[in-house]
Amino acid sequence: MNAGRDVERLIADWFVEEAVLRAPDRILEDAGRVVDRTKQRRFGAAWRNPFMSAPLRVAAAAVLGVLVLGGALIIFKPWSAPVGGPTSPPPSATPSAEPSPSPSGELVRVLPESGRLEPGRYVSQATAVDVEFTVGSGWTSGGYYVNTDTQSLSFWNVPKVYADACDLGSAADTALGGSVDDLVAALDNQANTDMSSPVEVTIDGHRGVRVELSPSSGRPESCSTLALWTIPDGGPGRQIDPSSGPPDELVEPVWIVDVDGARVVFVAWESKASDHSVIADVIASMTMRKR
Amino acid sequence: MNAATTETRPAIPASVMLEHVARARAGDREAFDLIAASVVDRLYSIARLVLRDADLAEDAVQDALVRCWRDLPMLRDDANFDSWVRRLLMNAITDEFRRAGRRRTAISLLRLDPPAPDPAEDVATREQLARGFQRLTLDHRKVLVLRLYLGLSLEETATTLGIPAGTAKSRLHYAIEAMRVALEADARPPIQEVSA
Repeated sequence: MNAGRDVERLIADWFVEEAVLRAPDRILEDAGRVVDRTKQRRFGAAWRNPFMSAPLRVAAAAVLGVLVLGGALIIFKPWSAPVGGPTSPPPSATPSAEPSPSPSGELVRVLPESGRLEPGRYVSQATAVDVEFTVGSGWTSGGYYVNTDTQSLSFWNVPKVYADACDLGSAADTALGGSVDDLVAALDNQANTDMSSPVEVTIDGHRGVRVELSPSSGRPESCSTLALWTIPDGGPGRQIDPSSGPPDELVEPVWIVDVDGARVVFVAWESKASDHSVIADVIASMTMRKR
Repeated sequence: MNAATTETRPAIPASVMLEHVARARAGDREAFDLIAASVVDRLYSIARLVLRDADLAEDAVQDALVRCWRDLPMLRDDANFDSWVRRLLMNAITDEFRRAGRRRTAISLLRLDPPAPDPAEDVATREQLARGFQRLTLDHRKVLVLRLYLGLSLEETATTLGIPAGTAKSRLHYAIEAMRVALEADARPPIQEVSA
């Protein structure tokens, strides 16, 4: 038998003979039934949000129940423990959603857990640092993130970095210090992601760096989700699904800023096709204050 | 079953497909059903060839379709729909293959379709091909089917599998070589014992 083309032709012909060209109807019927129960990941940032662990889901349901029954406003932020420092008591309360004046006199609202945002100034209390920023129209809040169809801005408290983004079991042994440099070094060493050179940035007088993380081209084929870091309850935080877009859309712009010794991390993602000035304006409007 | 005798579902013209994808992305279920009906035959033929098992292939395609609906709003460029959905299928195939675990060999042997009546030599070659293919890893099966059945370029194959083009090329080379060796081994006459 001749090598190369002859074998290729034999295999190709065999595939054609073997191919089953019509799928059974039940595939469409069964898929349709599952689709009926499946919500689309509607917002641009949704596929990058952390998956809630089962206990968190239960807790969230309980919170929702309280809201429905009692009309109380409870904001649940399991990710808001400070990084690297003493454990603070879990926030049982409840930042007021009522607008409060900022130092400049402008009204500032605490980011609601969900819902469309009126244009204006908001404060994220998802981390140990209050981050105030201004958004225009078209933004929605998810509590610890805000997004449009083509941009998202999410705030993270990062206690650990996965040593291997493809291995959710790899974070446990990874000690992470509380500085900006510690986090940059951990991300740089992370297997199966590529990190750009850090660029120094200053936000509201606070120094930090901006890096871009993207799935490594040499990652295992079996790696269908990359998890960058954990959240304080130990579950996976920011994640990338490589099948969700072309490689140039899978770049995660990560900003890491030191605010008087507290580290705040945010991811400012935008679609390549979006108006880049939008998210730049939001970042430019930021003020940061350690709580 | 020789599926060449079975009619496939009608394909949707590319321009209309783009329109359906945009509508489905916005949550239009009817548009999604049209898309699903348009791609299901192709996805199934791929899954069936790679997995060599009807049940696993059905599950993989169903899973890929559900993922397609769920994640469609995150598709950045509707023109990339074909390669994107192929990639969803490849991930679903991997999941099904793992889920089936050790049972798959026995199952697939039981479920191999009876060959159509062919001259004896052709039958023998088909059996050799089937045996050789069955021995390949899932990664090598995928690259063979994408390249030699779908006719994708190396770059398209690499994109579909989420691997560098160089890796796709080396996997293809290895897979073809493994198939060649399998064919040659089967064709070789049995070793004769030589007595002094």
